[in-house]
Amino acid sequence: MKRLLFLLLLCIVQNVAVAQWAVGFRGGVNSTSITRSHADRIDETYGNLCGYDFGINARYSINSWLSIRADLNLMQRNHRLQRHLNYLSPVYTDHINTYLDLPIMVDFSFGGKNLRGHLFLGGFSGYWLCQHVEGTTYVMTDYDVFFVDFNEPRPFNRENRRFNAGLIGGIGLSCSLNECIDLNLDALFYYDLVSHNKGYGILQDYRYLNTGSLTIGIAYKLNKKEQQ
Amino acid sequence: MKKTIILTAAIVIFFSSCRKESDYVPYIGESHKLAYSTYEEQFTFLWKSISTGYVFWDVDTTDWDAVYNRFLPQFRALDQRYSDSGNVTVNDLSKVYNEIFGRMKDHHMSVIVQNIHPHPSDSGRLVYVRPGQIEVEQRDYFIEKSSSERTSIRAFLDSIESRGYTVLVHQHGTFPFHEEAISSEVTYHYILFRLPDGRLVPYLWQSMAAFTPVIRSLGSNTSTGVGAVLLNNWLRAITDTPRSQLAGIILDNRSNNGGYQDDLDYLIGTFLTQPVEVMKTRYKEGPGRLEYSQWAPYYINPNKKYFRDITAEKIPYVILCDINSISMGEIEPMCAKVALPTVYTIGERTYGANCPLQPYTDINLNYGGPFGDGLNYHCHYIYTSTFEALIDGRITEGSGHTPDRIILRKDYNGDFKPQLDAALNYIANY
Repeated sequence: MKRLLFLLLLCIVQNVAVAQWAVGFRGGVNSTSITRSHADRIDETYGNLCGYDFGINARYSINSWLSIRADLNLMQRNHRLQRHLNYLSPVYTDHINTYLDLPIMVDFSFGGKNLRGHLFLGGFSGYWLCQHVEGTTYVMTDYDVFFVDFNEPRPFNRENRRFNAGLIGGIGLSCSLNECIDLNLDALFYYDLVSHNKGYGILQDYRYLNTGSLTIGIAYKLNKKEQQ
Repeated sequence: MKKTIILTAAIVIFFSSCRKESDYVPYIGESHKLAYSTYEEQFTFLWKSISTGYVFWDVDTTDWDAVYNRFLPQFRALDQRYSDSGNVTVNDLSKVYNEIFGRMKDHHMSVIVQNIHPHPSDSGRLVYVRPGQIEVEQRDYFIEKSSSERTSIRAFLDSIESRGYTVLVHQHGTFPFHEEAISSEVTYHYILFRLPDGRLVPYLWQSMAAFTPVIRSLGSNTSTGVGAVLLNNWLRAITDTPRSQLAGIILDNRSNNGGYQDDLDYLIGTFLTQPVEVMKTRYKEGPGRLEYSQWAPYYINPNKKYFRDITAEKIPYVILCDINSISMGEIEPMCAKVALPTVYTIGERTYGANCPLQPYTDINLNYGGPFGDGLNYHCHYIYTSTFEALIDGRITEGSGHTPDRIILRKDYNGDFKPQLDAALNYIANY
């Protein structure tokens, strides 16, 4: 057992000796859907909406195929509620939610020296910074229905849970332009495990966000000489 | 690599099971859930429906979860008692349901629940709870009377000529009207007062807000058409009397228990030159208690047929209201105050049912509002309303409109005359 521990320690020390840091930024688009109970509301559907996704990241390479990556992302996680009941079909609400997310992923890479594939797996936590709504609502009188467009911020209420966390996974492709610079293409999927509404003690109604993100980025290797 | 993929898949599958399943969340008043065999089921259905469909959760301080925890054991005890002795009366249920709903803010709310196991000592099977009425009867200016207030004010107006006023015209009557599935009747008194200085004051009392469906019958050879002529006479007296002869206008909404929202286009729109935003409205957009649609503005539009610019001509418009002015009976003076600078309201703080009701068949539009099995009374019938606030943000549900000048009938043995005198004096001295 002692010998095994010694070998493991030796392996880690050796890996640290070849480790390198890289920092970068990335940007792109995402699409979010919401998983929630429908509550038998006969004419409502909940659809995907696109949003922006920007972030900075730091990568710590343990060896040639294993890295740890941490991101700090400013991203929208938007979704739509659409009414369908005959004359209410113009009514919809787009929920524009801005999150600050911190994913931490293990990056398994494979391939050649200049072109490598990546498999990401990890978790994330985040904070719901602000919400905005835009869409069309209605006013009903005794004889008429009028439609009204809106586009305004929405304050948080006590049903909103602003902390969130979940799993993140995905694939990527990186291309080394030179010794210092990598170009990255990442396709990530955020899978929330924390409901974004708090619900109540008796009647729980969990809502989870799911976000698929496609970004391109650039990374700068800080200590390339050690790697060589 | 293969191991990595398998490991990844295993982890994802493991964690995906970490999402919690929601409880079954009903929308308000799912009709297929109306049949129940125990008091517990009945209460649970009501509790869940109100939880998801009640529109006042952000202004109603009732702790609804605490209600569930406190009263569920009581309903289980009633089920047990019925099982043991068959001895559960309407009175037993009434006590519990009054405690549950009696303090809720919605003054349109009317809970009607059936005793599902009729007891021989009960004369009827239904339990009634009206939280608004419970609150109103606790106000210090509430008057307990043997006959209805509407009967009393009608008697006062019937004898108006003998009460010391100079009355040039007095037309009155009760008129039936039919609007879609609704058939009802409304009583009007149109009086043309003459002030001591000779100027005129067109006055209208309406037992309910049904101006729109009645005046639409103008020109028809029906009883409703006769009522429309009366309303047309009041409006024409306002629009056609020369300024030097027109001292002011009185709309009497005392004991007016509400009706049609579109009446605003006649009672206020007649005096507008352009649309005016008076209220904002919203509805439930999800089953969460605080899940609302965005506020939408409600405009009153200028009337296309009748018009007088009372703002430019500085003509006073007095609206009388009292504790029995309910729903549109109080929304009218409230909105008139917002839209027209010469409006002055006199009387008592009104009932406080200030948000509109849609028919209970519209439950799938608003996911809030009246629900149950309607007028059949087989199960129950509940009114909650959709949410409106005045454009300045004031929410008057549960409190009502406070008039510019308060004159309490309680201080005059319930007499309707002092409030009318105050209106005429205000106009005479304007």
